[in-house]
Amino acid sequence: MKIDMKKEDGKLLVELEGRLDTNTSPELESTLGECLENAESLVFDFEKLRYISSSGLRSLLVFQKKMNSQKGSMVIRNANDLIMEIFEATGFCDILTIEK
Amino acid sequence: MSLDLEKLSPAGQGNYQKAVQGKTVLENLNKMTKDPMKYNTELLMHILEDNKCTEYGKKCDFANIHSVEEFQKKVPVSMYDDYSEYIWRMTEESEENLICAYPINHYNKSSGTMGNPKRLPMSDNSIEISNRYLTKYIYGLLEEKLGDTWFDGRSMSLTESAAHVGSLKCGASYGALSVKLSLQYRDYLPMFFTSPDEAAYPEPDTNTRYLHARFGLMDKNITSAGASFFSFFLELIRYIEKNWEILVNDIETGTIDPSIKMSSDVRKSLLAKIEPQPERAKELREIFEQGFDEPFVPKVWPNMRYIMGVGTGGFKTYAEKISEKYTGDSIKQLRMGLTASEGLFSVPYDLDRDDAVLVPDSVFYEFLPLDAGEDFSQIVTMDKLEVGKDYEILITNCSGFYRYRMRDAIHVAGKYNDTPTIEFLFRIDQNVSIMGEKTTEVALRVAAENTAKELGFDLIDFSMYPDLDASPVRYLYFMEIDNLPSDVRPKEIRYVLEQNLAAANPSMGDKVKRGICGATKLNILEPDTYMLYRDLMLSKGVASGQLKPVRVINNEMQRKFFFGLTDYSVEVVK
Repeated sequence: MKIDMKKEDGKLLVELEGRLDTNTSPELESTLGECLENAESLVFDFEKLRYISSSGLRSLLVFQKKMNSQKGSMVIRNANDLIMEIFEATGFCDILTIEK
Repeated sequence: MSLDLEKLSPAGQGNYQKAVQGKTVLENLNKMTKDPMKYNTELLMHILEDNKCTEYGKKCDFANIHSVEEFQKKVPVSMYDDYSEYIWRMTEESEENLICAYPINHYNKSSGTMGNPKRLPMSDNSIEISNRYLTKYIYGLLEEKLGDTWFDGRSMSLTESAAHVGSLKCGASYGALSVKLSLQYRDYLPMFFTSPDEAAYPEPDTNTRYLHARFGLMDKNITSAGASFFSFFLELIRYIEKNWEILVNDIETGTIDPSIKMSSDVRKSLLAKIEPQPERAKELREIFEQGFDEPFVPKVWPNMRYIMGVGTGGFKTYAEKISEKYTGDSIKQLRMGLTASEGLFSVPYDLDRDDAVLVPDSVFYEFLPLDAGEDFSQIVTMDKLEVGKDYEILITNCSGFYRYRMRDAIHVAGKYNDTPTIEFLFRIDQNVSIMGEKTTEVALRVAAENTAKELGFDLIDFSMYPDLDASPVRYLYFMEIDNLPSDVRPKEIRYVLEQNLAAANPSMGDKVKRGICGATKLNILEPDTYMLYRDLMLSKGVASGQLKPVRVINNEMQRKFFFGLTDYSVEVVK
């Protein structure tokens, strides 16, 4: 998986390419790590993300909780149909902010 | 107990005190178990006398009840809906003396396994009874069975109190009682438990599994471990198995790996509590480098004597796996009895046992045979229970519930002195019967476990969905598995599961054979799915101590979740 990260003031934009699964989610958690400190908003661009697994969803849950705890926002953009189906099936649509 | 108290650590002194207090409770319980009906009837008469002036007591004429028989004639069998209006008035309009005369300062939020959470009153009297057995008796029992070998060391407690305890309009607290009580002792927890405050009361993004494991591994002298459910302990042990290198490196250097999630404040606070432990790290590395074919827990913690938690019913799988693969027989298991938001019903009387003894001075017990349907004339008191039979349990407690159907099925396993011992079987409403086959949670579990054993894989967890859209209707198992031998094909798992299900419930086997029900379908879930489910529920505010395994998928949220995370399916195609 490729992670492209841009930070501007309090806004963090993260573009993911490939698969977010058991093998790649630890890398994402590690890469974002300290960058989330004091971030006001976290935006994930999933345009090039092909697939997300249970482990990937767990990572998103961790980021969402982190942002909630520091009263920031987290948004997911451009998720493909397959990923949208997974979000809908697992109930993540109700806890994540998703923009098409 | 002939210990030099002054030489004991604070944990040792605390454990000693609990054991001393527990011994008195233990002796009293032993006395009661020799004539349980006498004490259970006395308790009932006290409850009726004390509550005769409540609205419910007047309605049921408590004042003129002088025997169990009169009680059963005058007081109807009840369920939650019979009290919901009273409870609404108690909590929203602060009315008193409706169903309970005792002070009520707390309402348990039920786990909501079967639907919306309920407000379950817990009077101060009921809390005292639970405390007496859970914080005193248990330690008296441990001292009786293990001597003082476990006194002088801390425990690795995996309890987390992330859930919120709120308050109701009437001023009473509302939430999990365990969370409320633990907050009262928060400052003293480090003396008794290895996990730091940051893990016991975690911020939302803290990797608590790492913290429990890390701080536990740092202390070689741990003498026990405890968790709400045995599943948590198994999850932690598996975490150590997979992540031991990071854990050991961090212990060696006194650091926390940057990949471990936590806020910078939490990291800073934790780093202030730890120092490099190169000797301990060397010792641990040598143990873990030997591999995991043999139980590693006794090597890592040579003084560990017992593990405590709920390890029966749906949690039996986990308790057995822990003993078989990770702890061996030298570390004993204290499998807690049946406790619910409505009260404490049974307590263990020995180690490594699935059955637990009824507590005659906790609640008044009645039992409806499982095969009696709704025929309440067959309800019996504890002295009439038959060993080997299964019953639904009904309770009258000190918190305003009378002849209340718990909807829990129990099995009468035997007797301790003259008191029946019981095992929790399943939630009655979680029975599955799509074509009259009545499959219990136990049968579902046995089928899944035996399949894992026969084929040699690790069953992380499983659930079953009654697939009523299929034609013919069928069972659909979901399984998360690990370490699948390379020569085992998925269709073999499905086949063996089908055979084991037929053995566990011959009625289901017969229905599949005759085509009344379709062949069982198997969905293999992605790795970490059950861990994700747990995290998701915790993030929605469910208390960790109330998060039970999903055995029967019975709501749309669960259905969508597990279907959404299915890796692949195996079914018989006609």
